[in-house]
Amino acid sequence: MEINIVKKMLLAGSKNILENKQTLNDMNVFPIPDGDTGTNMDKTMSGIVKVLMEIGDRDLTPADFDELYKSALMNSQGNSGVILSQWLKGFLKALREETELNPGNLDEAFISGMQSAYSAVADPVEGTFLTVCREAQEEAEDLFDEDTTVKDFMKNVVEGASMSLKNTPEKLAILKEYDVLDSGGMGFLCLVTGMLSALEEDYVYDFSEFESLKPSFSGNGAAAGGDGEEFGYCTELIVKIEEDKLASFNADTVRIDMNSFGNSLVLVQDGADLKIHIHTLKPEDILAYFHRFGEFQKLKIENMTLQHHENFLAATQDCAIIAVADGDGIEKLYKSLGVKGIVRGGQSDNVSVQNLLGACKAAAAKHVILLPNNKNIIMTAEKVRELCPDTVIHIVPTKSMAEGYCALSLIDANANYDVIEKTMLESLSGVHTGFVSVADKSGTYNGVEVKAGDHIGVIDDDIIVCAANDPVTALTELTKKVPGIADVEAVTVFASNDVLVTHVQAAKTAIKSSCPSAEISAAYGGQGIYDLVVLYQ
Amino acid sequence: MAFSIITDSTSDLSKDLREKFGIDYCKMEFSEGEKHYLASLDWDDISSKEFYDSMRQGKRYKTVQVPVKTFDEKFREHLEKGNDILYIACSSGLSGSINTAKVLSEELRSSYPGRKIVCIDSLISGLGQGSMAIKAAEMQAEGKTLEETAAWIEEHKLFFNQYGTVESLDYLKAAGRVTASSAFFGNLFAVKPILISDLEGHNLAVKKVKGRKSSLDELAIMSAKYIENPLDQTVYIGHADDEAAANAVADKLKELIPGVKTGLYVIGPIVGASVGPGTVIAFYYGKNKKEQLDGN
Repeated sequence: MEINIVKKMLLAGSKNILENKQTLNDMNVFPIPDGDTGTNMDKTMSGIVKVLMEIGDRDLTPADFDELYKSALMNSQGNSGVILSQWLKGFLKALREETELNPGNLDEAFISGMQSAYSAVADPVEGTFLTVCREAQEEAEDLFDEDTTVKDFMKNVVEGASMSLKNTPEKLAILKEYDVLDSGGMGFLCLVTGMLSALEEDYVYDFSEFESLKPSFSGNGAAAGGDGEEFGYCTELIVKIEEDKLASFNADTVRIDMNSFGNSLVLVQDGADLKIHIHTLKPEDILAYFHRFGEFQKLKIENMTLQHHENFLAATQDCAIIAVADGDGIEKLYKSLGVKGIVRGGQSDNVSVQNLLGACKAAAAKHVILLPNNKNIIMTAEKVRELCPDTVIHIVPTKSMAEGYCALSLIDANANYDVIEKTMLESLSGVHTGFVSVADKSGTYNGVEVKAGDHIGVIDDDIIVCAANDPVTALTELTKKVPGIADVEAVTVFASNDVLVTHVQAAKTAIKSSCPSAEISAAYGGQGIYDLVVLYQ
Repeated sequence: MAFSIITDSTSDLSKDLREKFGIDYCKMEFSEGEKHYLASLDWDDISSKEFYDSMRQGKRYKTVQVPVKTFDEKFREHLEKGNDILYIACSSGLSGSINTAKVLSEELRSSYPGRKIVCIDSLISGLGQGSMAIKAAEMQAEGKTLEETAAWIEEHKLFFNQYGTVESLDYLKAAGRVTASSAFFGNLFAVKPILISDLEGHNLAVKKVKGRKSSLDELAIMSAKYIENPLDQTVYIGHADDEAAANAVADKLKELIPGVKTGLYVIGPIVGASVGPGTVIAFYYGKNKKEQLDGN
């Protein structure tokens, strides 16, 4: 084969990286998860394309190889881009004096590329681009015999890269944690897959996709996956396209359509077989879309959110935090801070020993840290401890949801149980909780005259300190009576369903007047009984 | 042979400091949508106030490491002047710039045979990195060679420490530039994380503290605990548009260590884009980072 085929191979490789840019960006977690692997590798390859455009139809000269590399390096961006440029350096250097491309010198070029890529990194990390480019070459060399053609060799490289890529999470822990393959390695697979496609007889060498070679190739637009907070469903299927539909089937149109369905799309067509991989929030739409073309040969739909949670749980089984909560808002807050199990209940709705025991057992952890939300539940928790001898139960005596939040907010839920318990206990010293609710009967309590229907203010252990016509006034009076209020640094207001937004605003202002230097925040707690529960730290 | 000391945009060295110590820097870049900016430490394209206010209003900036071309031009400029180069780079835990610089140095070797380019991974950013460059300049002024200076910095780089606090971890999380467990990132009100730089030069969230004031006090208390020879150095306190907070840290530190010198500065656009408005970071020369890590 003439050496000029290298021009086609590099262009096709560049094109394939460009097409997969967004997917590569989405996969990027190592070394810095800033979502730019695809952009970086694309920029690097744009350096190659620029020189190819200048070369045009004429034959390659050794100086062209130098120019190709230099341009790749100068256009490279980011870590992945620089490493790719170094792989290209070795690859191109090995071929610069050649007049024809054969399996032998192609193998040499892949070895040279791999060595050059490794030498670009001070501390080579396995499970990355480096591993994939090395194992791809090794696989192709293993299968090398006298009948091997250039195309066979490239097929084996692609096969080897693909196998190596699948294995990257076994080599690099962070990939496993995020449940992704290595993005740089995937980029290498895109490169060699493109290079292979250039060897097809019907391959057309054209630059149309690169005409506007500017740095602003825009991404693929709408991605249903969101910013990583949502996970959705990993949907994979193989469809056998019906014969009468095959002629009119257009993979490019499908790709465009898929942009509005989800992200991380991989679409491969091999004759009538169509293979699709996509992350989507609505797998049912994907099924309906592809069912039009023919029958499914294979289907796999996995809820990645569930997967994520399971992985998360499995990783931290040594210690689990269980909390009692009586509102949807506070439940959400607790979970965001690392609480594994929530038992619903509180002041009005006391938790049974059985419920709490069940939650502790379900946690299947060696140590359980229990956070009650009132005095009575602390007692219930003590009983649970007696009944659950296989688990070490640590009770942190939080007497309100506010104290529970306070204890949770300062810990690292992945730390050791003893560190967590100590941090929680320390965090509770000097903390007070204020409650505002509506009195259901009249009387005099603690010297405060209360009429049924009044809004009463309570501090900590059921001590009524004030009564007023509206919740904000009650809170204002209550705040003044909080011990050490002048030194309070942080106040957090948890509002129930019945509290108006304007009340919350007014409450924040009211608190500010008693402790002007405190940082005041408000959150939806959704708790029962109390309109407002306030944490004073 | 004479040598030039070069850093990059995360060193946060002000014009005054750069001129005083004769330090040059390579610019990183940042962008917001289609708008691209050079990461000038003199805020040429956008003022610091405008930059941080826009982040408060929800704008997010993407940062780009030093482009190869920038290194190429800057390094050639100094080599042409007849100087060798000592490049003190942003932590490899935060940026790939060091790697690019090393690759480019290899390329330049053929054009400038026999000349030296030494690249040092500072394993920190901000004035931690900046202080290393200042130290190098001081050694140079004492007549030390490039090799002697580079060897000293390599040997002592883990003694350049930081204690920082951010208003919200969201920025660091979005930029992928913090190490912390997911529960650290939960919904927090008035709880502030404390960040140090670990042995790999990552930002590590080590603990959470109640309230802004306590978090600022914590920076001073911990800095005072781990600093060495406090009266022979300047503690640099960087802030992302919250001078009052930086002053509070400086005051507390002076209370703990009477006579200590402090230098306040505004955190530059690259570090700023990752940490977000309201961030305050204290940098000092102290005990080995390992000791600091073990103590947290």
